[in-house]
Amino acid sequence: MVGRLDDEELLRRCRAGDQDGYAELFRRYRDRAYRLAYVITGDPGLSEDVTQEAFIQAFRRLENVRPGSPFGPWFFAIVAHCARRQGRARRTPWLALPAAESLSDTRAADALDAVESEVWRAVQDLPVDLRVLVALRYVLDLTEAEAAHVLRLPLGTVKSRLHRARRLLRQALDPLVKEADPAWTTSTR
Amino acid sequence: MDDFDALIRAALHRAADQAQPPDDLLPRVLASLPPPRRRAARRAAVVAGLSLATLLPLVRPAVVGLTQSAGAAQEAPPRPGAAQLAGAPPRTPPENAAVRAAVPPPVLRFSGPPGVLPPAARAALAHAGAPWRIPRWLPPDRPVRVTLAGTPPAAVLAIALEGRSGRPVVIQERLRAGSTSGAAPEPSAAQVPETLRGRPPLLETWTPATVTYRFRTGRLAITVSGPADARDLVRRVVAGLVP
Repeated sequence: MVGRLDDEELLRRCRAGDQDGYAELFRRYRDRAYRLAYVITGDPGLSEDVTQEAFIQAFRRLENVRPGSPFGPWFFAIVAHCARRQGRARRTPWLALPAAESLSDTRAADALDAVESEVWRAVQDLPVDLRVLVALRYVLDLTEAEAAHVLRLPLGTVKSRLHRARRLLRQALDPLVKEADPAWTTSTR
Repeated sequence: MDDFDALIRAALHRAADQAQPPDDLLPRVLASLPPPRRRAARRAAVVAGLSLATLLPLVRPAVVGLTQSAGAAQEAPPRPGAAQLAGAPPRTPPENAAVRAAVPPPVLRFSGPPGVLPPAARAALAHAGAPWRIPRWLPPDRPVRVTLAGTPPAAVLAIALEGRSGRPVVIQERLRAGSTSGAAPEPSAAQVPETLRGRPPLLETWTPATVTYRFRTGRLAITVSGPADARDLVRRVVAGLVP
């Protein structure tokens, strides 16, 4: 029933305290929020934290969504903010349980091939602000204008940051890609 | 989108496909929301421009922990969590009863083979005195207040989760240093911060150390901030949980 409603109607129900409305809104955006958080934080556990916190923040501030405005960009801005905060904090040295320490960091990398793993590492080495943009652009497939809207940045800033992110990624990946395809750099630059 | 963009996109999508959000995320999120009636009333009152005195009954549990001194708190009605410490069932707002009933029982979760706790987890459980109540529905990264009080060896490390307003949400566990496994070093009298000596382990006592307690699947991570003496002491006691 609620699955057929549009976001605006769901928001109205949520504001009235309808648990089904919350649940449906959660189901619609959970996976995208988690994927966005995962690429920004690079850690499944942190992504879980970010997704949970973002939904809680969003659900508590639903009255801030302007009538007629889409829920998605507003919500992804919250996810990006939470993830960026986690992304910055992740250099904190943790006291970690030895048996569990290495699992989350290696689980994803194991399932990727060599090139994908290098791409993943290169993206994770980007400064967090660039990583946020890369995640919005390549994981959520937002346009530059949409990403600018989500982050409330001027379009020019988004373009220049994406350009810088691509340049850093190319620098990091060039040796690997050249090895796989010598014609790569001439055909893509 | 050129080949390079396509490569980045494909790799990130593949990586993101490897990680899936946990199934119990929704009940945790829902249970973290305030009851609709109170939320609506608070919003209506704010919109109407009502005074703090009018709002106080609505947010009283949140304010109690901030405004009452340690002595006055003895006479105050029990806050959430206090009943749990005494062994009684937690008092749950009726509005949230259905949601909380749907929440999986709080468990201490570690990565590893199903049903087998890693030695560090067993030691932590034994040290804390099972069951260790981990309210999974609470948002992570809450600041946690730690009170170190009493005279060693009866020093008690009390850990509480704090709500947004600063009130203790639930008493998570009381850890008696060295009382069970002996894994944690017992702080000597000199190690207990002077400001805390002789005080009962009440959670309303602000401590000079703030511990950020993070618990998520597969990782127990604790960061400590505060003055150096308290920080070192807390770190030593907490480090005893992770032999």
